[in-house]
Amino acid sequence: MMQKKLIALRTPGSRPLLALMTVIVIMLMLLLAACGSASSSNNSGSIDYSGTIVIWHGWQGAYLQAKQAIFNEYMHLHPKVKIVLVHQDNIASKAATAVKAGNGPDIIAFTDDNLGSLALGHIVVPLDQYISQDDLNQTYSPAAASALVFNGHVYGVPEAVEAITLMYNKSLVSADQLPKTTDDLLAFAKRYQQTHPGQYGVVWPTEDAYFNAPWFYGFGAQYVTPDGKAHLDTPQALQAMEYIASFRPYLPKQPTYDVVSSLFAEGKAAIIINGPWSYADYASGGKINIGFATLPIVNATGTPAKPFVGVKSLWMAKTAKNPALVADLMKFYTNKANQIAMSRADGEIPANSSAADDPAIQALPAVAGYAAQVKLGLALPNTPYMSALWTPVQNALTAVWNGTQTPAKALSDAQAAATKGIAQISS
Amino acid sequence: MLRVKRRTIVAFLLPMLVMMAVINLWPILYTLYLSTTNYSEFNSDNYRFIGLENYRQLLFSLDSDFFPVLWQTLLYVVVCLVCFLIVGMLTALALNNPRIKGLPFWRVILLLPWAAPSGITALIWKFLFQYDFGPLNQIGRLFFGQQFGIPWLLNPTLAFIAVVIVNVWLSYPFFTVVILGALQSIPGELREAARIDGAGPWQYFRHVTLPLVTPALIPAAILSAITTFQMFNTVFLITQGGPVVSALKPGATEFVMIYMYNRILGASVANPHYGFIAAFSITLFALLAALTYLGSGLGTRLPELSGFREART
Amino acid sequence: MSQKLPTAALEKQPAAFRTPARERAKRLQGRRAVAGLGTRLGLVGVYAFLVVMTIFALFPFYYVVQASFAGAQNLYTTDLHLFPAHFTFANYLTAFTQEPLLNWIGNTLLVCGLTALCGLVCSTSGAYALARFRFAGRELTLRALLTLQAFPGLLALTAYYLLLNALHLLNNLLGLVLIYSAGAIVFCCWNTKTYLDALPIELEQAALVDGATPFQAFWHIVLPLATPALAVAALFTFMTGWNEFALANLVLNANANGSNLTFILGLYSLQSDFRTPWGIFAAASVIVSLPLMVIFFFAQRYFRSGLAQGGLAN
Repeated sequence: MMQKKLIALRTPGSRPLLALMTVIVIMLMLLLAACGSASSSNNSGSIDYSGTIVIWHGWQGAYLQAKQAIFNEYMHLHPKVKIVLVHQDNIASKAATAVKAGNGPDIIAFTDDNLGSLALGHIVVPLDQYISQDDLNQTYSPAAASALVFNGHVYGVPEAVEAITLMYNKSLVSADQLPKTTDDLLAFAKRYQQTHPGQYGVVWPTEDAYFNAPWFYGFGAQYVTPDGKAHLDTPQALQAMEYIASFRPYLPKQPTYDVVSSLFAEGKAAIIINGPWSYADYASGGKINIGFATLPIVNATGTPAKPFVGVKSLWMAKTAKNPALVADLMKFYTNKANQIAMSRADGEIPANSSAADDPAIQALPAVAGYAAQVKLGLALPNTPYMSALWTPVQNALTAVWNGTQTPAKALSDAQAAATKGIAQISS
Repeated sequence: MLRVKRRTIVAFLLPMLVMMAVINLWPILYTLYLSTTNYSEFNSDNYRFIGLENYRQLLFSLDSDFFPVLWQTLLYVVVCLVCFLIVGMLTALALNNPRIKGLPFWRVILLLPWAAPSGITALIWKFLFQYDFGPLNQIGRLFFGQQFGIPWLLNPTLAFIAVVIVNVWLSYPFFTVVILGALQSIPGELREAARIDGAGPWQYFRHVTLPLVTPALIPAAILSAITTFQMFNTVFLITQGGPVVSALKPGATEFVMIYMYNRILGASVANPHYGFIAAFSITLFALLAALTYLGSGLGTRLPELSGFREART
Repeated sequence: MSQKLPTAALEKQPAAFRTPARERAKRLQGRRAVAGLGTRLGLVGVYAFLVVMTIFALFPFYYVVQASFAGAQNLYTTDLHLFPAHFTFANYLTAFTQEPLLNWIGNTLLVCGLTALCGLVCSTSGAYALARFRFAGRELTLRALLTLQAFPGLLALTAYYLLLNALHLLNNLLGLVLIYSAGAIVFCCWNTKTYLDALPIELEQAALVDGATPFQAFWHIVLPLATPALAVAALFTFMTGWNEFALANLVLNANANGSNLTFILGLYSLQSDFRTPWGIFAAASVIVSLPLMVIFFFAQRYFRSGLAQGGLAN
């Protein structure tokens, strides 16, 4: 029907104005339709337990199975509700396009640093009506709760707190051999390669801004200042960059995430710097006996390397059809029992404080390992300007790792690119 | 020409024109419209008409990526084309040599890259070029020791060469087929006459073969230039436009189409400026249309051939 | 078979050059006789070249096929394997049972088939009108066709997204068909029109005189005669879409097990998912490529006739 309408309007001629009007009319109709459905279900007293809820997420592997089980239970409780999990690669940009087109999911599950830009772009919407700030503070650990609030509004619930830490293969390296400082780490990588040719002492994706944040912040640098200025052309950042580059002889030349992760999984790397999402895959079936340690202390500053602490969150998308049901599902998904089950299955640190305080959970080595690191980390900057930093920093790291640029030149270029990107965001 | 009623003509034309208006014309016009706005992800609710500002930024601003990207794309086109011609010509000459035994066998083997789905082969090539674990470097290590390694996809120049190699691998069979066809239409008595006259192989090639093959090559070359210019799939699947040269510059293999795609759907675009990219699209379209007219002006039948070639890009 | 194709297709142009070339060849007469056209040494050189080219052409195939039979070898290993240490079908079994390969092939065939069909149905009568009727705007339409031909769909990414959204065809194979059809219609129309230009018009004129309607003439006389050109156009458009990545990636979002994808998206996701060993990717590539390569070789026979006749016109 829609197609006919479009054709009928289009055919009279090739005048762009008409084409434009068609688009506007269609968009208006969609907008009206979206508003209509939203307002009709705003009645929060009773929840309509029916319909389909689409969740876009980046969960994978064993990690995904643990979460799927919780959603299955919800569907079991409410047989008329259907929950569809859709894996997306570039969640933020895909959601932005899809939601604008009225074709988005009901829930977006991603890390908290994206909240700022998604909220500014009206991709995700507040649900204060169903979940208040008080609810958040009572249910979840303080850091996790605050990550869901932007400009005074609640946008969803946190599910887990995560940070990358040092994970090691106990059959390749013993706890007392673990490097304690950055200099130790470098020496360890060098020594290990000499004694184990074709294998690696330590691996991590050295071209990724997130995975290298611990070094930058540990050396006293930062990507972006709280007031939204790129901050890459500092002596501290240069030191960090030079430290990372000094690992070039001892790591693969193309250390992409899949490469380093497989190396560790296959026992060809003794230590990996990675996060909770990877634990279940390495550990499942007793493949690898994994030990945890916090990241080393930076010799230059005497402070530990500081990873970003991300809060994995579920937000309500603008395209959500039944906000009351969405909120109900979010609460169910992050209640104590389900959070404990999730933690047991995949070793994540639950965001729900009563689950996190549960002695059984605290006794899990993985949770204890990541929790120790989280205490030393720092919150992911959720300023929307952070989104303009990831690519320039990654490009600088890549150019240095490939040897196409010196650390100094790479950083000054990244600084210029990030400044330009920030200007584009605010324009 | 048949004489029929006006109504009949309209009836015959209508289905096609309606369809084309919706799926060909409207997207172009909408892109044209977008290119005059400041539409971006963050201001999609209140974007406005800004005239030719996007074009000014694109074409006249000093830090615009347009000319560097266009330049490296054109370089890629020229290098690829030269390689296509050389490899295609040599292969065709070899396959046209009646003294070679088992010609049908060689023919099938050498045309095989044409038959494989290029997207899949691109993914395979990507692994072949991998530095640490790819078979090409592993073979090299057999001969030159453990330290050996060609940074295929890491070094800007080598990555450029790598995507040229892949494109040559994909495209030389098309040229082989075209040239072979032209070679086989050269009458046998010409060769005989040249032989009796005592012309050497080079003279024969230079004065007989080349002039006879050229007319068939021109449309194929123009067409390949256009397809290579707008190449996306193969290069993207191998390098995604990388490797990075600097945070300020486009990647070493970020050709026009890849550049555009990366700015809209790239892994971590902060704030896609749809309006600006639309201006980029329209400018490219103008260039491509000019090229096509140029091609059709040379009396070639591009549209027909394009299906033939594009069947495999 | 394949090598014959351009012989017919491009015969016309070499003909124009035939005379000057002959003269040039004649000019060579009288020059002193050199050795024969090819020495034994030259022949060895040709063989050497052929062997090198064969390695170049076959290495990627060879590597993938051997990897697919090599069993669950590690994804990243520093030992080179050029021959499978132990031959096994395990990867094929895993690929078939764990990955929705048949869905991918099916989806791709469906999208490409419908694209070809849509291209033909929407363009044939239009091509007929352009070939047989004289009307105001005919030149303009032809010119527009040529221009549209130069517009890669990728340039209108944003516009296509909005269009499909308005038609509720996002994340739907039909949406992909619609986008691909844009190119298909232009190509089919041009190809068919060129072919019809070459067909004699007298039969239709006679039919019209005998009282047939233009539509009857088109349906009963022209269509049967144009079948080869239509078949070729269908084939070309069929094959244009099957490798396409960017637009497919825009339109299709993977569902839970990825069964709604076209093969190129599916294989890409296999390769970028770090859990999938390379051997399984290799096996999946072989399974997907084989039917497509068979189609390609089968289709080559038809290239000649359709293309040649389509090209004979101007």
